[in-house]
Order: sequence, then C-alpha cells, then structure tokens
Amino acid sequence: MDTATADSVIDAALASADTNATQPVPDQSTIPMPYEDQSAPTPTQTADQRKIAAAQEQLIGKEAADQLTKEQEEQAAREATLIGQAEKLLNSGKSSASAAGVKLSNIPTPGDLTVPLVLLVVFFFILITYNGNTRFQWLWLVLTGNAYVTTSAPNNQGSSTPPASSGIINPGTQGGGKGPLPPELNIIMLPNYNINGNYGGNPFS
Amino acid sequence: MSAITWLTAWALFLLILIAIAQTPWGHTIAYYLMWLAVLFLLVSHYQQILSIFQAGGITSGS
Repeated sequence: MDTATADSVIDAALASADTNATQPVPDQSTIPMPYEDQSAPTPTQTADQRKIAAAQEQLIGKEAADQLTKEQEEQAAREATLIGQAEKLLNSGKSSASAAGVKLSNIPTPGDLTVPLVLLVVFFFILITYNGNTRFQWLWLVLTGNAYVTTSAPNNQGSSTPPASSGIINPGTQGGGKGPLPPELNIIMLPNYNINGNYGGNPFS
Repeated sequence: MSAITWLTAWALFLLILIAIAQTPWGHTIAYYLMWLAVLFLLVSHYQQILSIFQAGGITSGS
C-alpha cells in the first residue's frame, strides 16, 4: 500500500468517526457504569480504531521495511568493495583481540606482582654470585669485618701496605702486614674484574 | 658491548614491562613472566640452593 492509499484510508476512518460524533447523545441508561463489564468496546469505535491502526501499521511498516532494505543494500555495496572487506576484517580482529584481552584479564593473579618481584630480588641477593660470592655473602663478610670496600685493586697476601681505601677496612688487618688481607668488594674498578661465567660475559668490557 | 648499551637495554626492558603491566591484560602476562623468571632462577642455581642448607653454606664463599 502506497502513501496515497494509506492517507485515503485514514481520511475515510476519520470521516466515519465524525459522522458518529454528530449522532444524538444516547440515553443515560445505555452508558455503561463503572461496575459494569467494559471489556468489550462498542462495535463502531472498535471498527474506526481498527481501521486507523491498520492504516498506520501499514504505513509505518512499509517505511521501516524500505529503510531496512536500503540499509542492507548499502551494507552489501560497502562490503563488496576492498575497503569494506578490510573494515570487516579489522572489526573481526578487534573483537577477537578484545575477547582475548578480557580472557587474559580474568585470569587470577594471587598475591599480585609483589610476590614474584620480592622473590626475584631475594634470590638475586642470595643466588647470583659476583666476584666469587653472592651479595648476601658479601654483606655478611662486610658486616663481620671479613671484607671491606675499596677503590683499589685487591691487595695480595702478605702485603705490608694496606690498600688505598675509601670504604670499610678491617681494623685487625690494617697496617699489620701479618696474614692475608680479607677479600675486597672492589666494585668501582670494574675493568679489573673478570666476571665471566657469572653473567655469561662481562658487560663492562 | 659497552656498559651504557647494557644498562640502556635493561632500562628499556623494564620500562616496556612496566607499561605493559599497566593494562588489564598485560598485568596477567607480567605476573606470570615474573613467576617464570623465579622458576628459571631456581632451576639454574639449584646447586647453590642446596648448598645453602649445608653447614656454612650462607656465610662461606661459594
């Protein structure tokens, strides 16, 4: 049904309603009271309303159907082009990536990042060796006076002169010249040390 | 390789890891990468770990 036909149907329905409105007022006894059954409307009103509703439904339904068909044709034309296919592929990839991201973010991480990070730092101190000892061992040796920090190269055993130190020196060995000097944490003069085997190569050479 | 290159590479690696860890999906990846690093560290240094439990294993040289 086209627009002109629908308009004519609506006009006819409205004219019929006007005709009914000009009729004389019915007797009071025919007016339904509130306690009476009003589920069944009067035949005249129902027919008019049905006509108008049917005309509106047909009109709106046709317009909606036309709009839908037009959109579908446009979508098909867009997808037929290379750009349309690329857009479709891109949208598909985006949705897949989004779904994967949601799945990944839903995996539980008990303890959060803090736990493995703290463990890594602790193991770094007690497992990774540097110049023969781990950091924890060096700390222990320094705290117990068995090692000291210096800027000079490690002194050989039996040397009578203490190393030129800017760090911690064990008082029991300083200037005495008796017995071996404790190991040194000579971390400043890096080129003097060969740490091959500890890190898979000296990064400072 | 100079020390600057070595340190810069490490700095870049840490920056990228931190940036990824800020996203919801990267947080999970970074979390399990850290655990993987812990696992590799334990496996590659198992002899030292065992020596810790021996007498003087902590305070004596390795």
